[in-house]
Amino acid sequence: MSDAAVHDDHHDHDHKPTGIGRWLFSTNHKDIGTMYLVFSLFMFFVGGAMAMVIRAELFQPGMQFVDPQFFNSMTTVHALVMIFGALMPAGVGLANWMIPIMIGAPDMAMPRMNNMSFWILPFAFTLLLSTFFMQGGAPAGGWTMYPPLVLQLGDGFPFLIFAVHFLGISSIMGAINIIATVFNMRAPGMTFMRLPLFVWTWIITAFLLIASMPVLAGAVTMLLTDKFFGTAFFDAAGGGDPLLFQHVFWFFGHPEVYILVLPSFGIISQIIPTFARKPLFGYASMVYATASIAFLSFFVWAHHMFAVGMPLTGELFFMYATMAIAVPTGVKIFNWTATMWKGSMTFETPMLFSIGVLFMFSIGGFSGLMMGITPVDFQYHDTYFIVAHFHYVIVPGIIYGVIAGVYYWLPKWTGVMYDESLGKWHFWLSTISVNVLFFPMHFIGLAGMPRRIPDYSTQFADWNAIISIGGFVFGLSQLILVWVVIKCARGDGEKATDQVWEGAHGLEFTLPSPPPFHSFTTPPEVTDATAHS
Amino acid sequence: MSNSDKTPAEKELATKNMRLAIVLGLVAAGFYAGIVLMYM
Repeated sequence: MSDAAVHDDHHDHDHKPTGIGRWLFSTNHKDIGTMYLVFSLFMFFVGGAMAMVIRAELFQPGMQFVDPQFFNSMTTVHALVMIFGALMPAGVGLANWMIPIMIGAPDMAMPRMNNMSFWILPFAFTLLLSTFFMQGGAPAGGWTMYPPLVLQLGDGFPFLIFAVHFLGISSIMGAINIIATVFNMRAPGMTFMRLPLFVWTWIITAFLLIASMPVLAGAVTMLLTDKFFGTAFFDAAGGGDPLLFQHVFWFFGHPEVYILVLPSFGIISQIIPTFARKPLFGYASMVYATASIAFLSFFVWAHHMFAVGMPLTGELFFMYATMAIAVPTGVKIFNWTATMWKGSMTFETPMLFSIGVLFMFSIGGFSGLMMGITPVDFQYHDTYFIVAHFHYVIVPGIIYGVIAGVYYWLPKWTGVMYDESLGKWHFWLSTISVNVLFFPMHFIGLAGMPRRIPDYSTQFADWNAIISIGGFVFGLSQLILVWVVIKCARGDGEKATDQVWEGAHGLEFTLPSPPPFHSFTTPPEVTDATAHS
Repeated sequence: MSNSDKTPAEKELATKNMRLAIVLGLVAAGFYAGIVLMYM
């Protein structure tokens, strides 16, 4: 964006509110983005603590620390907290911070709604986590909330349902805001095909949210009425069908995977060209591949439930549709690799985490293809092979993408370069431990160890001990990130330049580091035909 | 900024944003109601 003309005369009177009111009533996209990211980091450690309880219990066969009911609550709430409390808010936080300054807008389209979207989250999670102190305990039937098991939950049931509703409302409001911002508030000259890939992935994610979150809300509303109002949507005795819930849930659940992963793809599409010092290979094909992945994600839901039994034509359809998603995903992997090919590469921490996404998301992607093959899925179903697969997608695929984005943009946000050696320690400790944690799960899964069970056969003992050690090291390694962020927030480090990285392009890098509280109050004129590169 | 402080262009933008938000909100509400009503 070297020849983008930026006119922003607002720096000298950059007033910002002070005190707690700045955060409670904030309508500023940067402050709201910061709140989302801090909330996400906090929930990452809450969900992480639950993972540590799970791994401590599974360190040895037999029951050690918790009873089976509490163990089941840990697996259930760990997933809900990580998906809705850590990953989704992290993506929305990055979108809030970066989208307006990437497209030359002064703020999000609806700042007050933006504030409300955020503040619903702590309220919803208070509802959810309060169930630990209720009669019957916290949800323990799995994050998928399958009936009839979920209906056996005690007093916490309506709290779970309302928490999910509120989280859905928050996500939909956030999605509407992002779409309105990008559609209506782009700077002159910022055409759709000049948008940074991160913005593109978020537009598509926002449409996915609007199409899929109401489906989840509808499903859990039906659960609520089955429990309290005498309906029988999912009750066979009343003419309903428990399998209907699984169909409806996964119609939301599979697009949800892409809601989480597409922003991560967008982030590394910004980072890899910067550190390869080359434009992104195949920009247009990246946009079309992202849209194709999103479209196809609505036609594969039943691959999560091959084992329930369905007609052969259904199995074949969902198997082939699942295979089809590998094509646009392969396009993206190829394009990232081609971007690096013969590039003048350097390996700063954001690049390391991005390459980590490239390699390890591919491991999760390939095991996904394996379980998409209907006949063999019967062996994998409900085993640790599945746990290995989706954790490879989520941890090195999504969390690594978010972490890469944080390292990449942290100097822009704070005006201070992070400590590169701490960043490299963070990457290598995380990468070694995450593979010790999740790779052996493939072996014990194939050997038949079931998921969501607090005890196991002694034949799995050695691998489980190793997996737990990997888990503890991975969890502790994340404290390095906290330290890095605190150091930058305190201004402890070398001053960052406006461009931050030698190879960085884009409107956000034309602003000072840190950017003023109100940026692009006068829209910049985007004239560079290769703005996205 | 109160409504009276806005320029005509800002008011027009706010109207465009609100119109799009209402359309998208109705789409989401339609999916929600539709999925429940379909199985009633």
